[in-house]
Amino acid sequence: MTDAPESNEEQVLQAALHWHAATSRVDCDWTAFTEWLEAHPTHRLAYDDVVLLNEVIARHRAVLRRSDAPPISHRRLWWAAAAAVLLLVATALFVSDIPLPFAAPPSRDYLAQGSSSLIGLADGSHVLLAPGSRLRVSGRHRDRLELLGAAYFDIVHDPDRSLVLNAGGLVVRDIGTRFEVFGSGHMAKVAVEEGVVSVGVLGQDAGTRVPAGHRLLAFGTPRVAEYASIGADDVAGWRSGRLVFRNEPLSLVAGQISLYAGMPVSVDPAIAARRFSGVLVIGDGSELVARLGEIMDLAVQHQGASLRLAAVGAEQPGR
Amino acid sequence: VDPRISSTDDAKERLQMEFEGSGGLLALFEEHRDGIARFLRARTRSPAEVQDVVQEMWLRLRESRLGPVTSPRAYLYQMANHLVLDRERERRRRLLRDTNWTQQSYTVVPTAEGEWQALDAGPLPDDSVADVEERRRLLAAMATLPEKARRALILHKIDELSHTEVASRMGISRSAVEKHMSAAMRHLRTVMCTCGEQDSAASLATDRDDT
Repeated sequence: MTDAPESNEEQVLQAALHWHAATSRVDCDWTAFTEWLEAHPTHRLAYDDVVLLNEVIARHRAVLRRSDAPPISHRRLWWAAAAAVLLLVATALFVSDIPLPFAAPPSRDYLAQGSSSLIGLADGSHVLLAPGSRLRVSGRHRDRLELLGAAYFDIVHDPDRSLVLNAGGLVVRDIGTRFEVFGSGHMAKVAVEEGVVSVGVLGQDAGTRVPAGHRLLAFGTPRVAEYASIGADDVAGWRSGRLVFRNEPLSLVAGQISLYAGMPVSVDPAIAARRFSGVLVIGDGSELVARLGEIMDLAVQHQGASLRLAAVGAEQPGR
Repeated sequence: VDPRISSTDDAKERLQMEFEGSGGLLALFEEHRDGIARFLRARTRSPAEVQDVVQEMWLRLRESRLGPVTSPRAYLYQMANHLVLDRERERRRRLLRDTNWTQQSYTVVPTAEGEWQALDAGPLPDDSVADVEERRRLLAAMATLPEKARRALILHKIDELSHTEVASRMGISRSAVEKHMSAAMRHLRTVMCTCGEQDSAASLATDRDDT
């Protein structure tokens, strides 16, 4: 072998760490990475070790983080402080909704624009937020969520806490599973890929169990819920650039499509209950509404910055 | 045809057309084949593995029902890289299964701060034996890290802070954080990846791909 002995293992590992970060980005220079790998046979071993060690750490992140809690003495101090402001908090609750200094930490809003965005929750769980969607994360453990739009959830099992998600007037509770949720106004869709979630109506305690391979739709006025089995590939198809619909009412289909179309898409109430089954390729999103219109033989009406689907020949409101 | 999908013939025809779009990726793969093969040679140092991965990529791309991809070249390289990692992961899992880790004992060393004493949290309801064992090894490895390297590792990898945030939290420079991180990796590697290294050494000895 002609390769010079690699003198500094840590230097190689530092480069490997750099390449680990770089190779997960779209703008990675793969030629430069190839050259680095070619430079010495130990480089690929360092890269493998770094990537796989990172995976090991990520797998146990939730447990490691939990045991990192402050020691008892600090906790007592915290409780003392909390007790001291209890009166203030109680008063403030009655007086107004001014921000409470010792209440839950402030919520955080995430907005996915143009492309989907990956959001880490506190315990190693992840949310992939679909384009055009908004997620609000709050709670001391970042486990109170509010969704407008679509997202795919990969929640790590943790017996000590339950994630609560509000979307489209529904409450989804989960202890560790993978599922997709779409919510907007009073419409919602919950599709479960793995595990089981509990879906209830906002303001009520009882929930319906939705297990893997099933989906629950909520739509219409008065609102109805509909439960059916789905294929494994149907869950959050937008992750691979397509939207899969199985017998979904047009109102829900339009709501989901509007995320990618980049503008509100409404449906004439006269046809809102019609059903659509099929797969739509998202592309850049601009063709989705026209395509759905063609397939369903519907007219696409332009109303300022929004689109409306109606039966062909139906009168356009406001004209 | 899936009876549950009741799309019109028109729609089916259209979908068929859309899915033929993946032919574009396959054509692109042919175009970048030499570069990807060179990458795979450097990545695996095994001609047999290069062939296997190229073959698998071709099959996957042919079956792919993917819509338009933003940057196809990056997608192809990432795919190649992931396939290599999948194989490596599986190889290590096999090695680990063959090594009876449960016979080895690990002691979690408590530090002055005592922060790691509580760490051996015991099995979780969904844990497999392998999970528990892996965690115990990770904890043992982390407990024996030098103080600053451990702190940098926890802030960056467990609390998921950026290098800059870790630097300001620890009151050191970014490059110092990077040094701590590589020191931490070297230590974890020595403790955790021993079986991988033995095997890697073996594969280096049989490296037929240097010229």
